[in-house]
Amino acid sequence: MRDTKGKVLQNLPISPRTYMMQVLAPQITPYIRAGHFVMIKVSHTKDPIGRRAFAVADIKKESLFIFYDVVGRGTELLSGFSQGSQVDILGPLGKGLFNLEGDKHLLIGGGIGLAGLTLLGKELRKAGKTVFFLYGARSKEHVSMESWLKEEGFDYLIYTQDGSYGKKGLITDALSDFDSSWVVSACGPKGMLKALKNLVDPSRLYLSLESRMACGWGVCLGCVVKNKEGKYVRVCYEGPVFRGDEVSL
Amino acid sequence: MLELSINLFGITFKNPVWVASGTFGYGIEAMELYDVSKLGAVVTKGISLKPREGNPPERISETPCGMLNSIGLQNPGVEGFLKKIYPKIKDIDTHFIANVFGETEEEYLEVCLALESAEKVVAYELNVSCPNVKKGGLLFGHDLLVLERLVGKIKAKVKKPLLVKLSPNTGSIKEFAKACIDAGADGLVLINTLLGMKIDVRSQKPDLSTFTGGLSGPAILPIAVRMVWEVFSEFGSAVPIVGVGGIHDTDSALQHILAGASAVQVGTANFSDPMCPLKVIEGIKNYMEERKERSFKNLIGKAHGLKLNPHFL
Repeated sequence: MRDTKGKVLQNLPISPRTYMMQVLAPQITPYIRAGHFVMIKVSHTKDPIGRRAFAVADIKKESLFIFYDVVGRGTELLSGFSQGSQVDILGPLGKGLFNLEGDKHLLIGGGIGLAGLTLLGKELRKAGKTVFFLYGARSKEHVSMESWLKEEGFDYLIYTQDGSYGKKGLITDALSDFDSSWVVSACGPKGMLKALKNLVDPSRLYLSLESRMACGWGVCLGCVVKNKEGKYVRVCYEGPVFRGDEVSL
Repeated sequence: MLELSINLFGITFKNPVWVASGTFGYGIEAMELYDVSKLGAVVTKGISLKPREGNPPERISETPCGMLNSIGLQNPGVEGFLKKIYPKIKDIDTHFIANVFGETEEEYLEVCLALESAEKVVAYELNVSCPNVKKGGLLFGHDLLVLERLVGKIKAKVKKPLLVKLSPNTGSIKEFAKACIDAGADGLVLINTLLGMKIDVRSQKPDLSTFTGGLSGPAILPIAVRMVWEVFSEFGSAVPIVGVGGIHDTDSALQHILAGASAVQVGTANFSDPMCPLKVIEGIKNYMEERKERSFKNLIGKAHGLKLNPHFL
């Protein structure tokens, strides 16, 4: 964990609701692994008071990439950061990271949650593993990261709930095509993660969780989730990635 | 040579900048970021007799220039603290102050007694003002007689200095300060969070699981400064005051100090700006240099120098 200042290299809309930001942050990029996230200050004032958490979606040389939907005041402010501006980044954060063991990996992203898996995809491929992405979204407008998957040359399948793009249905519909030899990693809405816990053997399922966070580094205890013993653990510190049988959602 | 160290209730602190309970864990996580021994003191997350699970999510909510929390004192209990956490902090070269919580007088006392032999813990900060638990806490902080009895009872049994963290959610903070001083408190910590609430207009429901929570952050700074000022005016010569509430930079820390705080605690600012306490230490040094003020002590309560309260003119 370091408190560093990065330089915005790009901050562009890639779809009507999704932005991609590339930040030069050489002090932290060498330490970032799949599953890590960063806390970014979205304002230089005290309103809003908190940083916002973003999964590191990719690393190229000394810069990191985040993808975010503009959904509230924080992300709206972030979308206003211009090229060349300075941004405060705290990271890398999280001690619970993805599992890289196993030969075949199924990566399931729901909506913008896909951004929590893309770095994992690259790390796995680098290690010579088989990687397949399932990308689910509500409708065509919510499929904003396909070009990244395409450019990186990953195999993938897209599902939309209303059938406006890709296959119609939920990503869970595709699970029967993947036998128990696949390790499953997922990031996305809670409903999707809950469904996966019921459908996939939780001991080979890895979930990257989202939660409201004030600090991101383990001290506010705001982001907790219950573990299998019924005790609250911190998403930001023990997580953000938990094995399916380690948490109750 | 600037003198930032200060002796309070018989203990020398290397500087007057501490971190507030519940905003810094027990100092372990921050060690990854900086040398925690640079701080004047670390006030621990609230410690109770038995482990506490805390409240269900949502536990936090952002508000204008502040936030609400309702953590509910999640902690491993005093035994868990001594076994699992204490070994990790005992070599950190600064003082720890244990924030102590109980549901009954006996529980408060038992926690303090269990910590008497833990050398690293130099003092107790009684938490009688947590707005987020059903039993204890506020009950003690909102009744003058109950508070006085609690403080007196503990003071009679413990060797280490006893501080009391007061609630701002009472009628007159001066009366509660007096009750603590009369019962033998060695210091007062002002203030805990203000009881607040947020409604999510989309769901049309309270945003926190417990409906209400404690408001902290820059939004409460003027209230905290006013309360430090009031208590210092009346009891400044009786006990040291530790200022907490809305401190997020050098200016806000100095406001507390000039109002009468002998030390300050950085709280909510740690969340978004973990380096904040170190920046405040440097900032106070620079301020003293600019003003050619050699001793920090001379700044305490300095704003009271000119008694020009317009209400009395």
